[in-house]
Amino acid sequence: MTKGEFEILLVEDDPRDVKLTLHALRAEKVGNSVEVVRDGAEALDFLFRRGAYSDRPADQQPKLVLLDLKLPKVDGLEVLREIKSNPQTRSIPVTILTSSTEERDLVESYRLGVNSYIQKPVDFDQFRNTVKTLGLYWLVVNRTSPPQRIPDAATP
Amino acid sequence: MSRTLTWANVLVSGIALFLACAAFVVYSVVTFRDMVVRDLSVQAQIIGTNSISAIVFDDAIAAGSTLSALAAAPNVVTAGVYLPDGTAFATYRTGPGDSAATPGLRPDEDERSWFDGGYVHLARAVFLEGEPVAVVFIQSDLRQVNVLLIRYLMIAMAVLVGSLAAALLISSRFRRSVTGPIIGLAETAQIISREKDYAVRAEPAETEDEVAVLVRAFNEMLDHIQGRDEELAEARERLDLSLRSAGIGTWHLDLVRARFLMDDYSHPLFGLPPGTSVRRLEDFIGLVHPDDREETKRRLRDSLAGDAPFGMEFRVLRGEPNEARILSSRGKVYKNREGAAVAMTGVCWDITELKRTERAVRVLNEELEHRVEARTQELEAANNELQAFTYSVAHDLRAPLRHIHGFSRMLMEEYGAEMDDGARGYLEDILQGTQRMGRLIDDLLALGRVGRQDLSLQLTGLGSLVAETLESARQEAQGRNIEWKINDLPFVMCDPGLIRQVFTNLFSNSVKYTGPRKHAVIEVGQVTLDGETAVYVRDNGVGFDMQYASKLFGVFQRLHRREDFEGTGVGLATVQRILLKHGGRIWAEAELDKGATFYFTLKGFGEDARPVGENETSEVLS
Repeated sequence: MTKGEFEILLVEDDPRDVKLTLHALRAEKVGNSVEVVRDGAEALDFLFRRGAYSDRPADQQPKLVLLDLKLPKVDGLEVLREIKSNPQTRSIPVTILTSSTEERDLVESYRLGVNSYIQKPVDFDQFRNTVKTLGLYWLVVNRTSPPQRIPDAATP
Repeated sequence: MSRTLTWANVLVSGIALFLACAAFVVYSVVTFRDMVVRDLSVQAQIIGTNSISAIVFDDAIAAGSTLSALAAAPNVVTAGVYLPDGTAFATYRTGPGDSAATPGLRPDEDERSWFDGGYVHLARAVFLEGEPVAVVFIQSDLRQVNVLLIRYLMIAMAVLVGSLAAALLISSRFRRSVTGPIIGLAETAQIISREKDYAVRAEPAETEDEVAVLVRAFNEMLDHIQGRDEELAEARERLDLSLRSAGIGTWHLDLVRARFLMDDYSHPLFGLPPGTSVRRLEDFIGLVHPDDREETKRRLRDSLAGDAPFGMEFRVLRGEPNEARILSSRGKVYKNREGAAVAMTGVCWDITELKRTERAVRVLNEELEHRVEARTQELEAANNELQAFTYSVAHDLRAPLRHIHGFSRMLMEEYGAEMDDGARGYLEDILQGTQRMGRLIDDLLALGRVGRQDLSLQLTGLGSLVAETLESARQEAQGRNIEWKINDLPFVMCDPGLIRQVFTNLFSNSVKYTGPRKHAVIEVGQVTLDGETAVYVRDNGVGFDMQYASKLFGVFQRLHRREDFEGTGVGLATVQRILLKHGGRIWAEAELDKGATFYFTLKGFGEDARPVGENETSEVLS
């Protein structure tokens, strides 16, 4: 997706989950464009325009990041930490979308500044409802702060 | 003793009498001699006076007759009148006498007398008109004096003997009254010292004098000694019994006499046959295990040199060579006035068994600790595994289930129209199965969380928990005709999150089992049963048969068929686990087709539990 405009960054390693999530997003007509990355390292590369994504325009950041916790290379909590500790990305809403119901994951996520935490329901209909609510809220109802134009030099 | 006293008496009176008699005799002798000399002097004067004319006229015969008048004095042996030139003028002689004796008077002397050879001699000058004209000389024997003397001596002897006899008699009389009790006392003392029998007593004196006081005092002293003796014997018996029962041996080190003593109870402790003599400290040290000897010596030296009491544990070799017994010993040092140690007394006893037991206990303790540690580690490992397992269940089992449900749903939606009823039915079963399994997994995870989670207790109004829970219960029961009766509920110390889950599960249960009722009633409130506060949730649902009540709270235990009522069989198990964790309990009363009542108690009920109005909340009090 080099076209430019996109709204959602989906960080998900399982291809079946990618398929189901994209299906649900399409079915509920949420998010016109979704960028998918398959592990934590790629997600960070994408967001901070490194490696394969180094030529990505600086002013195009996602309006919502859907983040799985269990990821290869760099796990979801680490990705969350990086996003929330960097002024360039701190204002991007992040929603954890995971199977885990572990309290410590929940607590840690909120400690790191996650915007919402959602356990993927087994029931696909419920999942579709959840995705719909999520998209409506973060992409339509909620008003985020405008993307910060901070020069690269200011990166801590 | 009585003889000594008698003889002393006799001796004292004898000496006194003898001295008195001797003085008497000496006095008599002196007096008699004076008398004799005076007699002779008078006679010499008479003869001298009578002889003057004879001398003047040189008439020797007349002088001789004058001298012959001396015949009247039988004791006169010789006499004579001598002229100044020493020639005999006239002489008189009756017996042999001392013929050699001569008047020998010096010119300035008037008279002289002397005793010589059993005779008394007297010479007297005769004067005529102041001029000495002659000397009268008389020699007299002492027969008469001696007879008198002998007579006096005899009297003195008689008096002496008589007096001594009287003294003897009197002292033997006294002996009975004075020395008798003293002798009795002496004999009693002798018996006591010989036989060590303090029960005997001295015969009391008949008189009331110092001797009687002495005898009484002696007897009283014996009373005291006998009392002490008995006490001592009892104390010794008790001590003996204690020492024997406890197997305590005693030892004594006499530094003055350089002796070591050990009692009979010590011998078995050191493995010695009874009666073995251990007389020197070196012998005692020799009984100590070679490895402990230096230490024992050092400790003994330290105690003797300082003020610290002696105390140590040492090994001894006894019986079998390799059977080392452990003894404990304590000692006390005795010092003289200068502060130098003179003796040390101590006890020792066998602590081998004690040590063995201590060691065994220590070993057991260590083993136990090891075991506890090992078990703890095992438990921790198991716990970690369990957590990993639940995490894995949450993550890895739910994911495929989600995929199955998701793709089945998509299949149904996208290709359902192309399938016949049979295929669609199967697909429907797959969807239901995965849904049920999802619920089951979620419920099991909740149950597992209750076990792992620590209680975070706080004073909570159960009424407000019920109010919060009611929201979701009402949503679940949408479209149903349910009457909720909410009564007053207490404030209680509990984990609000978990107790909320209790109400959620119980309400969900009631909603489910009142399903067939057109008008369902669900009631919550509190009752006091046997003095205990219990909260109840009552419904008019289908109830259950009480004979299965015990199965109600087991995991996966269900009393209804799945076609009738959907459920995982985990909800009530979770409720029970939560309440047990709070120190409470849960039970149910029901009748088939009449409804069920679930009661539960919490440990936090009690003094904190009191009814409050439904509209009151915990914030009011906090």
